[in-house]
Amino acid sequence: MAIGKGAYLKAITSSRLGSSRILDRTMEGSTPPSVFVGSWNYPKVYAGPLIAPIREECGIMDTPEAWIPAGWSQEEILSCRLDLVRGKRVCDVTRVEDPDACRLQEIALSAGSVESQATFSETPAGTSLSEEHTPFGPSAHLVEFEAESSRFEPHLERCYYDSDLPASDAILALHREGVPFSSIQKALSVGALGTGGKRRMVPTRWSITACDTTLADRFLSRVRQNRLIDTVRVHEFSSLNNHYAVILLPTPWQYEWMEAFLHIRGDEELLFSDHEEFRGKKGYSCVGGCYYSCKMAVLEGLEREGVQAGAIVLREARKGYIPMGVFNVRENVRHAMLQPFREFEDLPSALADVSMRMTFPMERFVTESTVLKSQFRARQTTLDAFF
Amino acid sequence: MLKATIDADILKESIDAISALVTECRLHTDENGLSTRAVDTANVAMVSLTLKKEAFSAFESTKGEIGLDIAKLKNIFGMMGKNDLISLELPEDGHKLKVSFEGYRYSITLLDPNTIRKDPNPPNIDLPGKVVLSGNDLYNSIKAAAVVSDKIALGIDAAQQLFFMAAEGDTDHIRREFGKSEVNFLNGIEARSLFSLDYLKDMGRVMGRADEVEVSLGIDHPAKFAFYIAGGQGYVEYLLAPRIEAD
Repeated sequence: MAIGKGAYLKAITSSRLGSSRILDRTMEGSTPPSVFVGSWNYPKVYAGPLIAPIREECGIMDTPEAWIPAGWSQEEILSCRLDLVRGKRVCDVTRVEDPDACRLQEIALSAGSVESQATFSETPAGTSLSEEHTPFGPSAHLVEFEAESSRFEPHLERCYYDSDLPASDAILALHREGVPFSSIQKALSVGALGTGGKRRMVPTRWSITACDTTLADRFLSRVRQNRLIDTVRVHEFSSLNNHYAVILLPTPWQYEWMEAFLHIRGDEELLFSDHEEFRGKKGYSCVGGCYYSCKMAVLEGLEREGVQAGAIVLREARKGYIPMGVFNVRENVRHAMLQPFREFEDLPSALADVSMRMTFPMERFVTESTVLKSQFRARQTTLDAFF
Repeated sequence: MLKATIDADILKESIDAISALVTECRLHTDENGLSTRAVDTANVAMVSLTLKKEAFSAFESTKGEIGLDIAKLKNIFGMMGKNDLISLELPEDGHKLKVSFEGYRYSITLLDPNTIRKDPNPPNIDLPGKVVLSGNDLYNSIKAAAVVSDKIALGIDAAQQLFFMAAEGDTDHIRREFGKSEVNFLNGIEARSLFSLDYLKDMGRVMGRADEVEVSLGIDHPAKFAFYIAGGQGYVEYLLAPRIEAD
């Protein structure tokens, strides 16, 4: 393969245009609430709020969980996100009690949109589109920033004031209480979770994977105790120029993520994949954060159903697709897991069925896979088959 | 009740043998020593270990069962010197294992054995092909195979009296044969099965320290690796389920 995934996605996004809204060096509006912490120059990072030029409740602009149920198109998501202006200022990730950090914490914890005013040192410019985080519009350095005081979301507030609660336990508790993933991730990112003294601001991109992994690890330890499914199951879902097929195998947990990018820039067809066998993964995935978002979404579904299975997830991104962050993968796979499954006696008949809705030839998925191929070529048996 | 003193190196060797496959286990104690048998979470590999009381410099125990968090115990190893004497102490009906060495005194909270997977039944399985080779040779060929593939074939060529290992990658392959000068054929009967290197690498690290490993094989059957530890006073058996190739 001549091109890496990172370089490819950069090429797709570099040709996109930004918001057409005319901006000034001062701005009045609301933050949904939304914050962005960059990873560049860590541990002295650029952090700040994202502000929309409207003075009304706009929480949905930073709640990706709501976009697919609301039936938003890719264009609607983009145009709304590109209206968000990012103010930034250098913050030391360890100084979570500095006034700037505290103000970001207040925003991230608030129960609804917060009216804000900002003055920038220059006119905000540019856009940011990435496979890792949700898109946003122009950015500029903050000179002054003020936000109305607001009511805190009660679950987040409790974790914020509990300085004996480790961040991982807080993430699990908040998820159990039904707090949206995006709110938990924002709270982690601004340094509002964790035991006192150990709290840090966490770059947005890292905090997303940290939340996905923390949840996935917990689900996995429970799923490993569940009985295996006894047929091959297929869950599918399509949205935002993407098609997802989750193929569940009657084996202990193993996982393969394969994503095909088709005809997005021209006539290219690219496939990226990564996998883990029964014993899990060592080191960071070569395909990036989406590997962990998808894993979390599948395990969340398996845990909910009280079963164990091996999972092969095939994704096809088609013409018109724009990278919009790993939420795209997480929410689509979550929706797939909520769809009723189709059941098959064996893997070949499941693949034959899935291939009817895929453009990319199934043989190529199989040839370039590891776990999927091993089901045909060298299937791992278990000891109980022998005595 | 358990009261024992053991050389740090022997304790580490024993715990490493278990931790290659599981992070927790039920440890059985009686007047003759310790034993455990555990299967990994995916039910692909099993470890059985016995450590006779002669492996300890002092040993006194009643019959009992301990739930051991292997990962936690391993964390303490970093503090131990190579030839330290470790004393282990568990009072009757106690839930904390006292581990002391060189002035350090740890108290490790034990797991409730009922929360750990039940001991698997002793494997009753016929694996006719048997060879004995050095642990180091075995581990080296596992490492060599891992360079080109994620699985390895182990087998015996009965006609040529060869023990072989072969790994096929997408583009490369590797093969290592052992003749009579390197391998002792206890039963040189035809055998061949394929195994996951993910498991074998971790098991190999432990087996590599053994002078001799007895390997038992069949055709598309599990492999058994048996070897002594603790200067002959401990015995480990690994059983690994094969990967089966479709036609």
